[in-house]
Amino acid sequence: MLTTTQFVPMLRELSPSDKLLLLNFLAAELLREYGIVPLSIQDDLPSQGLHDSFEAAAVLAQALKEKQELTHG
Amino acid sequence: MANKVRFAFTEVDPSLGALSTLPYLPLTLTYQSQSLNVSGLLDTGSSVNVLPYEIGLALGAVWENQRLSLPLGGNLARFEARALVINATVEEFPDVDLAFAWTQDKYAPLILGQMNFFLAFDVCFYRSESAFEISQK
Repeated sequence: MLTTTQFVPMLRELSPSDKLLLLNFLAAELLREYGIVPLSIQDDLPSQGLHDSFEAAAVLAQALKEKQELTHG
Repeated sequence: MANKVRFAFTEVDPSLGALSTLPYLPLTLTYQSQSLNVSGLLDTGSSVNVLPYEIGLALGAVWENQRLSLPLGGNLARFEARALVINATVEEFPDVDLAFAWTQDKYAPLILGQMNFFLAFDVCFYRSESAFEISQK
């Protein structure tokens, strides 16, 4: 694996557009890793609020079912 | 066991008086052996119960141990949420399991919504009297 001191000089050689693409890639990786929805697409999401978070409600129903199965066997 | 219990709405902003009253329900949450007295906002317009991050931590829940991730809408869409089933006691009613969307948003309110608070309890609102009554299903 490259160390910071090894890859920083390589990054400096990138074109401005490649640097921007790299920034975009790193930001996307971090958002995905932490489960954060990018601001840019939040307006496009079909769910507008807690009033129609039906997929989330289905997951909660599943969690309750699993808890009840654990409790009652 | 109580059949029906009446609660007054809670005044959120004293300067606005009755205009700022909301239906907050006092309840005790218990997770494993840890209990906490809290107030939850009765929100018929929310499809899910929502648990703020700090309350989950105070109850001893471990984020990494919750494997069911769920997508929330609105302001909470930016934060990851995971399912957490917590035992809840309201007044003298028998305790029930409530499934919460445990959000990483530290400033989210504790919301009692359709899944599954309103499946476990019937609530009648008397807004003109700033009161609500609750009975267990």
